Amino acid sequence: MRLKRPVYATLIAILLVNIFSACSSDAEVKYEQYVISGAEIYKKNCSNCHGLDGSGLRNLYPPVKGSDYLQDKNKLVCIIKNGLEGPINVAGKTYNQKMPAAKGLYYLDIAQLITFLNGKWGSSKKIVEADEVARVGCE
Amino acid sequence: MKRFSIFGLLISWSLAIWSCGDSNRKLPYIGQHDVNEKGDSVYHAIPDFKFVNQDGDTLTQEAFKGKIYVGDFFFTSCPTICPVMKTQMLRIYEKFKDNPELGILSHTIDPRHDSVAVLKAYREKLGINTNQWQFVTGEQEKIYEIAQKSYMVSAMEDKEAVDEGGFVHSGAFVLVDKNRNIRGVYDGTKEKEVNRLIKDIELLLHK
Repeated sequence: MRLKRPVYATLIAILLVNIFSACSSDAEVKYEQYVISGAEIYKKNCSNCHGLDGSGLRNLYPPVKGSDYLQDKNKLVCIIKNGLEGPINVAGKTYNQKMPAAKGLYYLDIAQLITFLNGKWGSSKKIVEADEVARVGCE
Repeated sequence: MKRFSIFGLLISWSLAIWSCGDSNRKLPYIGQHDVNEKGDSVYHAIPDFKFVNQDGDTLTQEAFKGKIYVGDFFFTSCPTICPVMKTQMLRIYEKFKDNPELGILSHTIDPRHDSVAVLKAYREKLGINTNQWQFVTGEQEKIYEIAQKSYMVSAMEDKEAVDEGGFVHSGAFVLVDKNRNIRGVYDGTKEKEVNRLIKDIELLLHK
């Protein structure tokens, strides 16, 4: 008996899912989900100015990659929520271009975005939860 | 023998087509075509203009005399497509740097905010230090008029478009030849389109 191609595909998919779920815990799967969603959110809301590679645009827009701002979660949440105006110093250079508030983002979106930023260009591979974001009080 | 000669003909044809390749390609004339009293085609052209550049100097079509140039419309506080357009325009700038036959002309569509000083600072932060790339401001109506009627791109103020920074405009790069005719319109937010523009610039330059 010969199996048809879709049947093969399904079998392989089930096999792959089994391998993955066997090897990684729920927490790891959740972290990966946050990173993937966060990457999409970054691409849509941030990458125009900060670049797909996180390196900014010359002296106009600051880099996200290696930025000290990634070290301070509360500050980061507020900047994403409310935007930023006035001169700032990033990696030894001064930038002064207004950043708009990301009004359309939910707490979960911001949590996923920060999880992605930290994992990709910061130093933390820890998940940031939506309720942590919700608790941050901004001026 | 007859079959052989046809075969030979086919080979020489394909060789001829292959060897000419890109250089035989011709760019279209964009916009309305008219015929004058002598019966010659008259193509849509960019009219005379007068704006103020990043140094506070008057800039007219004379600055692009004998040059081809790429025109676009943007504003410095634009949070959406402009940074991507500028990233792509920088590719053109770097590629044709120091080529006196190519210019770039960026018009602000937000002259109230984008003063001469703002344009100057913006340009410096982008690292542009030659006259090849000019940034201009001027009367808002004149800029919108030349955008819409001459460069045939959309540009307007729209207070409702809060997320876009209060303006609606196209991300087009418009390629203008030495006779001020439009030879191509490209999406300045897409790398592939800008690759095509670079090829078309080379084609026009080598004419």
